[in-house]
Amino acid sequence: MELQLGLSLALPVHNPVKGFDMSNHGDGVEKKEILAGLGLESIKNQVRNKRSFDVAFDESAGNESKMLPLLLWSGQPNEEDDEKGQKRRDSVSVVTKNEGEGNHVVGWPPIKSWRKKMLHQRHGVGHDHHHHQYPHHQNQILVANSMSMMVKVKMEGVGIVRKIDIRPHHSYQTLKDTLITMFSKCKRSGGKEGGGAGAEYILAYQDKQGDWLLVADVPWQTFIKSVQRLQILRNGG
Amino acid sequence: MLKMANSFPEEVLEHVFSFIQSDSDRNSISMVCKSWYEIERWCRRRIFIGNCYAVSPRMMIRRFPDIRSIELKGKPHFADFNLVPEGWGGYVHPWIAAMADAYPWLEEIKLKRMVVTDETLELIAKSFKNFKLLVLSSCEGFSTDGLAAIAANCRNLRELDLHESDVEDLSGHWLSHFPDTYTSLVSLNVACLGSEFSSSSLERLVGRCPNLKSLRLNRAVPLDRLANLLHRAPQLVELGTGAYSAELRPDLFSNLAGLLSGCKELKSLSGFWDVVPAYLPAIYSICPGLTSLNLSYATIPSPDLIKLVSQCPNLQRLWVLDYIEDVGLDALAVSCKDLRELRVFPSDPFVVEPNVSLTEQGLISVSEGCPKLQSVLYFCRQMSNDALITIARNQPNFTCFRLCIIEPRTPDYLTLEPLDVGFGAIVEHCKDLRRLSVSGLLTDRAFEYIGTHGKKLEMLSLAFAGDSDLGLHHVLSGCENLRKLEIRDCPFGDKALLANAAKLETMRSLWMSSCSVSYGACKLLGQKLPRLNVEVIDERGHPESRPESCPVEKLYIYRSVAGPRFDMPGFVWTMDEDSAVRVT
Repeated sequence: MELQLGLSLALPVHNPVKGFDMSNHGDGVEKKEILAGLGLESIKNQVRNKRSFDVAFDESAGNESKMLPLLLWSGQPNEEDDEKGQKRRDSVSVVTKNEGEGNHVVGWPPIKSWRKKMLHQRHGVGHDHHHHQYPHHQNQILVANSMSMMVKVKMEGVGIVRKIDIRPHHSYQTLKDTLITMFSKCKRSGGKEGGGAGAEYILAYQDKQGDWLLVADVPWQTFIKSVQRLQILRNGG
Repeated sequence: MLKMANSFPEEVLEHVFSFIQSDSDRNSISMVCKSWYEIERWCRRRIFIGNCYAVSPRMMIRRFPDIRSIELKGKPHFADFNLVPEGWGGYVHPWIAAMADAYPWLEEIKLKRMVVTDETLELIAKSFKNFKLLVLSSCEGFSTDGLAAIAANCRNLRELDLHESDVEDLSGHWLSHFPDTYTSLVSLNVACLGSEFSSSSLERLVGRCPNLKSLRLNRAVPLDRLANLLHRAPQLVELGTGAYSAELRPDLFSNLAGLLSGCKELKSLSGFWDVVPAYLPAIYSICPGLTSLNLSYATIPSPDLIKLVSQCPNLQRLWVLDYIEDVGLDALAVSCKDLRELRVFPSDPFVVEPNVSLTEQGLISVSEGCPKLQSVLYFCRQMSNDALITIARNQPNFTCFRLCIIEPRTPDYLTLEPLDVGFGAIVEHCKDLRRLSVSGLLTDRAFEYIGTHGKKLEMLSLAFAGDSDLGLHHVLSGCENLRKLEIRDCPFGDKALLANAAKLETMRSLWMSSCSVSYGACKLLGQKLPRLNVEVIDERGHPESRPESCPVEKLYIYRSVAGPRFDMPGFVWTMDEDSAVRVT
């Protein structure tokens, strides 16, 4: 068999692949060619892996030009493993980043998107005023960082008072967006369909002195220091 | 044997076959001889198809003319984690359209990870006269309008389960389409919906279905409404609550507690959205009877969880957030001696620093204390080889072991070694292991252990592991029962894949993304193994526009007797003989 597996792949296919015999032993493939064929220069990590594979392979087969003895690999422990493990730790990971999830690897950790949505809702809308306090035996900094700030939100004409965590918000806009999402159902059932999101409503808050003020009249930082509860009022009735 | 079999009249054999339920046994029967094949195919009533592209509806109908129950799966499992691009496929409509003509007496449809349209649901509602069960698990593409069609037309519907489906939720009004004369509901799962149900439609429905055993509500159902529902359905066996929160009202609490204690049959609880732990004692009275508890959406602090699980001596399944912490799992190990399945989900998966005190220790405790434990899904942030070895020795009964150490390539935190030996111990001791997900720092050696010992392994998930082709080679050349292999971000490439190409024909599917498989190898596989569909998924554009040696983004290989599929979107290329000829 003239053409062997690795070669047929390493080179641009100018030859209809003849030898796809899995048990076929090839010969004479230069390591360099394999690297050139398989190694994407831009992904150094992979090149390194190819090389380390070849090294590993050489160790077990004792012949640096053959690649297919991989198929005959008989199960003896690979002495290179630990060293390679060490290398991998420093290596650049070949992962894609997703804008939507910040700096996180897409699909990792493996949590169903549906569960993630619920998780996000829980954190975003912040129904739970408990969970941030849970790590009671964690270090204080962590607790302080994740400390939530729950305030009650009442919407005019809606029976149920909700709670919202102010802490994850950094502007009036995100707070308003969250409130709109939270109460959108109430709005719809109230008659007006969607409309200019929130235009027919005004948002008021109660400060530490117990006075009711309009939201967005003071800087955000001042607001979060004083807000005690929120109320959504119909604009002009 | 053959002669004797032939001496039976067909009717007798048909009757005998009717007692045989398992798919694999039915498959074996059909391979005995031609006449058994014939008899079996005429009396096959249930069918499971693990990949909707592995066979065509036409082929199924030709062989099995009288199917009553079908279970069909679409997208690859990694679709759960957003690794399969939107629009990939998995459309159920061609199946339903074909079955609408061929199987007027179809009673059950179970779909997983498929795209279902409202049109499809309308077709189901109209076509099957005695339709009884619809399970849409992790499906998408339909709205509450489609559900309204099901509700309005399927008079004999017993089960409607929308398990984690992504439904366009137009309103909760669809539920009122169940006619007033409709009383056959046994199981309803609408936990994935967002809308509130229109006034009293839910209460009326629940009230008039005396056989209702399972009711899983959505988050929009408030606690006082739950009380109303329980009042109407004390016979429930399975309950998924809605929002389990309210301002503390002693009357509501005692009302709820009273109603729950009247539900003598309750075995399974879930829901608890937005839970206020102060209301949890309302379920204490039924805890002794509980076998299943899904608290994985419930933010409950460890002390409350400990109180709860301590009252559930018969618990067999617990799903919970990591707020349970090690101390809670200790309590679980002491109290729940019948536990079979444990899943611990991360409350905050996107931070590296632990926000709770949940370590390998919790899993060790449970493996020590719960002798019947056989299935685990465990998210944590640290692990050690010693811990894994202890767990494996404690619990050789595992059939499913899925461990996710959240930060990729985390070594043994004590020795900084790879976790090879630990996972090696798991596969070595747990002889019945069917499903394994590994994580943490792993070299090819771990895969050597897996390949050598994972005799019964059917599904294996790998991520950020291994160093070379050797790792994949170990898995493919070992693991003789492997059916599904999914790999992401591992340096596995052409050599291992091509050298074990024949193995792929024995498997249901292989998924590889962000690995090192070249486009050239994909083409070769597609060309040389015509019974495999080799699909390259690449959102960067046609792979021909890059060198052959360039690794493909994603690769999905599955065996199929139907040939290449015809509904591929623009970012999927199938490597058939034509494509290979075209480029040579």
